Amino acid sequence: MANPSSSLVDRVVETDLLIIGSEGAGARAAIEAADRGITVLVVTKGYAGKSGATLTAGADIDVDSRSLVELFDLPGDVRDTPETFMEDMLVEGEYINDQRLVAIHAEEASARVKDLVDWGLKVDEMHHAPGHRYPRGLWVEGTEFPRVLVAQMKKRKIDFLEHFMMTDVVVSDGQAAGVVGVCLATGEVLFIRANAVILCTGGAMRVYSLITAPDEITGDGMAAAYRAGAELQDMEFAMFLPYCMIHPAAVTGNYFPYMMSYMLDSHALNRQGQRYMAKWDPERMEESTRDINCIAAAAEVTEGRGSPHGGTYLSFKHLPDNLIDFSSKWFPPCNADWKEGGFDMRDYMPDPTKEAIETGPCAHFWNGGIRINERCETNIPGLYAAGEGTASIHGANRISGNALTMTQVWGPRAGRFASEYVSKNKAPEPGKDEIERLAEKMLGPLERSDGPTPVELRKEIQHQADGNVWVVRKGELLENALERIGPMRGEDIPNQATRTKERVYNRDWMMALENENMVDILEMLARASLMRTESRGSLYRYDFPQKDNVDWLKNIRLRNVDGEMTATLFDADLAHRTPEKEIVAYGRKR
Amino acid sequence: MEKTGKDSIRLRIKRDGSLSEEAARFDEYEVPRQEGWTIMNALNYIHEHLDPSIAYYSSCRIGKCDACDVLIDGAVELTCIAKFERDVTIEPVEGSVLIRDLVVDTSRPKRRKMGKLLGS
Repeated sequence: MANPSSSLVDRVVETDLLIIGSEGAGARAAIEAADRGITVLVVTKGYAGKSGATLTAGADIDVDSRSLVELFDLPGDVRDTPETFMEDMLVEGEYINDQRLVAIHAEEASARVKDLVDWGLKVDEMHHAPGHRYPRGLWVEGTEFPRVLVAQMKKRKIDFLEHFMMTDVVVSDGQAAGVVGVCLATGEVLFIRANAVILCTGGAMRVYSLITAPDEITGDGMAAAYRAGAELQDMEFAMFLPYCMIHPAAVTGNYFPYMMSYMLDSHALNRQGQRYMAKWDPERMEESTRDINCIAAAAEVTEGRGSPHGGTYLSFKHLPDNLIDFSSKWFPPCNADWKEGGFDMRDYMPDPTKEAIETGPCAHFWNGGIRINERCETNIPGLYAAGEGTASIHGANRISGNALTMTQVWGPRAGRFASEYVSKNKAPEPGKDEIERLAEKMLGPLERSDGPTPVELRKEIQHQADGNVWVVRKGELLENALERIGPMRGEDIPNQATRTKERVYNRDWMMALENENMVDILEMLARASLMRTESRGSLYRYDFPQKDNVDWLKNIRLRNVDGEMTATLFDADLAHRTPEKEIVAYGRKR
Repeated sequence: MEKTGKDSIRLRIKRDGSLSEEAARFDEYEVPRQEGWTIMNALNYIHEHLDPSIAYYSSCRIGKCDACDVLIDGAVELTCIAKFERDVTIEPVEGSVLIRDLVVDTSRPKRRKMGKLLGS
């Protein structure tokens, strides 16, 4: 319908429950709500089933090992229990996970994954990834998720809106009342009025230049939630994946070498040919967890022992040629024959029988995010969140295989509790001025003729993230970043000007809107990293290299109070297990 | 990729066919030849340096999401994995309503004959 209340909004759409994000978590939330008879609208910035991080996984999905035997007829280990699974998540998350949420996660994982398999999800063999005491990984091709979930959504006739970029959550009388955003396909400014909103928008890896994640992962949901007054937590724990391609441009962020290191015995070397993992985890070496591999590599680079393109070397040359050749036959189907996605890696990677591969840590996942409770509620009534971009089942570091599981356990929970909420609550009509203000902000970059271009600003954000808030961090560098973020937020973002004024699918405009989110995220990342004066999981502070279980079994919560970012410390939830209260070297987990 | 021949590659890109087939035109861009680039890297270069108005889709960059498909010299290819090594003509895929330039609305099939490469 046309919108009488605002001159800047082209169209108002109404729904009961609005879900932002159409993939792993969003699709599951929508299915759950539709099964409860709720009117749902799913919106996505890209194409439904053809965007987001879920489909990019060629990965393990975690289920307790006993369930692998009982539900999936795989050679798991019946000694495993959801409780043991929970304990491993706490050990790897280094005890700042929300333990009540972790217990639910470990308990519900098997049933939710079983739903998927019952819907036709194809799974391959079982894997045993580092950090798990028992094999818990069902191997899944990420593209299986949209295949199965889109079919389930279509079966339920769930409405979609593609190419819609949410810019802000609308809050009315303290309750979520919908969102505003731009439909990229038509250039229209939309107000989507809803009685509840679920954010399933993933992480914010795009703040870095080298990432494994898709381009559109710009922290839209986390930043919009922040601006609306939601609490965010554990934002200092951006997760990196080791041994990714850093050169050439076509394959940066491609994680085929990581897959090789996971399947084959590998040597990570600095420019002097030293196996530097010996300094960090002499027992497990390259088979250590991903956080430690990344921090070790980043330390080599920072200390001047890196490779020409700013990484380290991954070598398989100690293995016989015919063994390396044979690996291409038995790798999981998505990586067999030197394939990664659509690439034949032999075109871009040196021959591993002859040369080492230059690799580096690339931003891969977001361990923290919007703080939710067991019911996926944020601190704003009617605003829910699920999947990546929520805190805090992972704590300081996500265990391998839990990203996909997270979408499947928490998406349905959000769908269920938000459905219960909308059947009892109606959001108050938001004020005209608020919608007008948000629409005006959105249209600003199109209307200004002068100002920083979105492309320039995007590069500057990534330059700050790469240079000052990278894998290994220092107080001094974090302060440098914050000094630059101030004017970025205050002057650059509100003055951005697109170089072209076309409304339909204007990349400059989309980048400008994303940049606002990325600056919010970068500030949260830098501020929380500076506040945490210790090293834990995916955060390593050069100036505070020890893990401090005396003073730092704590979470940092961030909140927007009248435009100022405030950070507050809270004791971690130790409802089930408590670690030794001691100060130990970084990397010691058990 | 072997560095041979001239220093730049020419991309002819079909523009603005969303208004009508008659309004469509081809714009040409010279992009410096780079080793280890794909067509997606070249499109990003065009957007950044040559023409901010160009519309194209990008997401996963590894050939998995399948959504950056276009016609390159008449054949359906994904820009994120198509090699950047020769002069090419790029058009939107057929069979869906065009949003702008190379971006199509796959949820709305176009009511006319499907492109020969879409299986008919």
